[in-house]
Amino acid sequence: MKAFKWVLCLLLILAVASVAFAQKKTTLVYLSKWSEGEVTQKIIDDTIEAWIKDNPSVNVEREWAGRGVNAKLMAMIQAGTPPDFYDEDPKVIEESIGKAGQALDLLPYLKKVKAYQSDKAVIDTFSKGFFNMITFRGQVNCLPIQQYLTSFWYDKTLWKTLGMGKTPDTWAQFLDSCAKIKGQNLAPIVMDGGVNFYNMYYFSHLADRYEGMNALLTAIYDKDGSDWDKPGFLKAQKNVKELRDKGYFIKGFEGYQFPAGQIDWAQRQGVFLLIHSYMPIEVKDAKPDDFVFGSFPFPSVPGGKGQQYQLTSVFGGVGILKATKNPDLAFDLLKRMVAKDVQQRFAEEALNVPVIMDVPLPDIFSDLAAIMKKQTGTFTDYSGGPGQFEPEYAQKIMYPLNQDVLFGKLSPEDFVKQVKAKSIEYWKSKK
Amino acid sequence: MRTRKRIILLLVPALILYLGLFIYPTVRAFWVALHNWTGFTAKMEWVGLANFAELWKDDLYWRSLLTTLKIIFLGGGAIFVLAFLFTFFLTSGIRGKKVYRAVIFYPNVVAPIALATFWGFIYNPRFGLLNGLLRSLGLESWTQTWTGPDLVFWSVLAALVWTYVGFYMVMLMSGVDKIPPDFYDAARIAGASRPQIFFRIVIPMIWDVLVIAIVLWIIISIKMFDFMFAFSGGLAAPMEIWTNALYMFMLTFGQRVAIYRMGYGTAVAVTMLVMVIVFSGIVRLLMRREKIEF
Repeated sequence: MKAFKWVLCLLLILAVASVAFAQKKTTLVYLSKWSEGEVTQKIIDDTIEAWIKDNPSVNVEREWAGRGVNAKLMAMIQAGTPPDFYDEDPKVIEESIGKAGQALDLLPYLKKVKAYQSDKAVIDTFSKGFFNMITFRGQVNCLPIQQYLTSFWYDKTLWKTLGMGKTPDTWAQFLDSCAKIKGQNLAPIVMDGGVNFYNMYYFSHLADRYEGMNALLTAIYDKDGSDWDKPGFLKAQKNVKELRDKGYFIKGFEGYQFPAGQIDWAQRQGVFLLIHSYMPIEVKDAKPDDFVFGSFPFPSVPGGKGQQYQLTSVFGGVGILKATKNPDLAFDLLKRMVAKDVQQRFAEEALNVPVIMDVPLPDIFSDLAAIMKKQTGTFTDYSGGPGQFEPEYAQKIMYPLNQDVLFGKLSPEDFVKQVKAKSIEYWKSKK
Repeated sequence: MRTRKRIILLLVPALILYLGLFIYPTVRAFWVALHNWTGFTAKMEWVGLANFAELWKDDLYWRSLLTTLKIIFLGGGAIFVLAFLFTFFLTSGIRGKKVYRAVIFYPNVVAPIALATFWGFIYNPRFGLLNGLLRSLGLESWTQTWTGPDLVFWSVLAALVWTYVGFYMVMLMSGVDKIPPDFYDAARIAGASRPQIFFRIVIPMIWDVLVIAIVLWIIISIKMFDFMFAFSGGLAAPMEIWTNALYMFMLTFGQRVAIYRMGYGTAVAVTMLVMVIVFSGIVRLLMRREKIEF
């Protein structure tokens, strides 16, 4: 009986020890803006699974929160259970956890830690100056894992049918192309006019072509508003007005609620669509079988300080919260997302432009690959959250005024006057 | 005495839940509105009434308030006129009353997100049902960009009226059904016409139901969000249909345009609560009548 008691005690001790040991397994929490079933979600999930296999003492809990991820993050932080990872657009990460001082600065890790199966530091697998675009207050809040470049998209089959020649390099050639297309009773430009940040693209590209890379961004942050006196901004809006006045936008574009415009474009109701490189995957089910994606950069303008191969770019990234108890481990997982094999999957399956160098683009991006070879710079995108742009200023000042010009309710001259006055007032209120 | 104690004891859990889930968040909202806060940190910066002062000068707030008011008054006006008309016809002894009532009520059983998408297809400038119908009738010149900046509010308002009219019709009809048939018989014998019966008997006798229906519509209008949000595919609703609720959402949870001003957004929410209290109070005051018992 005594022996039995001893055996029972021993078993009990072993059971308690095994539970304690099992609980020692480190757990990381990954909060994502992707929903279950999306291509990107699948790639991230597989990458995490592969990493767990290499790190069996770690468990990664995954929360696929979808686009309401920020509300979920707020709740988790308020409940005192912040996640270790949070994926979003870099600007959104800056405006949420970055400015609140809750994002881990990844720059030291990028410089110190070697890339997956490589002798290079992680930062050296990216092109030079890449991180300048997502550095806020001297800090890198996230590691970009996906990239989208902006260019004009068109269907090469339709282009050939219309008897069009070379794609336009200059603004004058672009206008000629529009005139030719319109002459054949087809809309030259398609646009989802209901989306205020899509409506920014023509003005922002033209402004930076006239006044140089990031000139518009500088003007937006110019507290005394004097930058708005630069002639390029007025010229840019005059060009936008010209497109409208000549009827180059698809009829009724003002009322196109997303995604009506891009579906019309995929169904060949119009020719040009100025948009990010996520378009091929977004319209893959709406296009005819013989649709061949072509793209070309935004044309240059006469006497402009900007160049034709300066492109805008936006990213999807993953940040680590400062509250994590395992920053080294967390970064180890993060660097797997920018390993060559994973980036190859992002390119081939999610049709993203890889963020690191030396990863070939899929055939669908053959034009884009050629454009990227000639790329001379990257400037800020103005699509609200994903762009490096003051969100409140965008929502309250820039989008409404720009839209008024595009919809023919405000003259370019009045746009410049009003944007200048409102900018001064806005920055005064932020002092 | 023991029974009273037992009742109180039974009410305590419900009271605690009510205080915790409704009263506390409401009081807390007033507190949050007095701070600068992103929602991503525990730290809130006290700004006093500065958020309200900023609202006073915020064009977009006033614009969204105007849209909300237009929905309350114009939308409400249309809904109640139509609901009364349907009630009038459906209570006039028409055959197939239940079928008509079910058909008119039907939009209320569909999720607003689905309804908004459905109306988006109806109004689509190119392949939409509305323009298609006009074209098929040879009325090409009548086709419009229904979702363009000039018409989008009216298009959405029409969709809202279509959506909600059935609900208010059913509410009014439930009141009408309770009126004893003797009243109608007596009125007919006295020589009253149908409109006279409707205005002199039906309306006074469903007055309480009408007051509740109007207050309910005001509350629904002030927090109108989902339809507007979904109408644009959830990406960026046109400014012409921004309501106070939508504007509050944009200021606090941002989404595509990353504005995280929880304190300022909560100030908008506080004004919405005040609006509900003020409007409900006014309606109850203006529509106060001696209760008719039957």
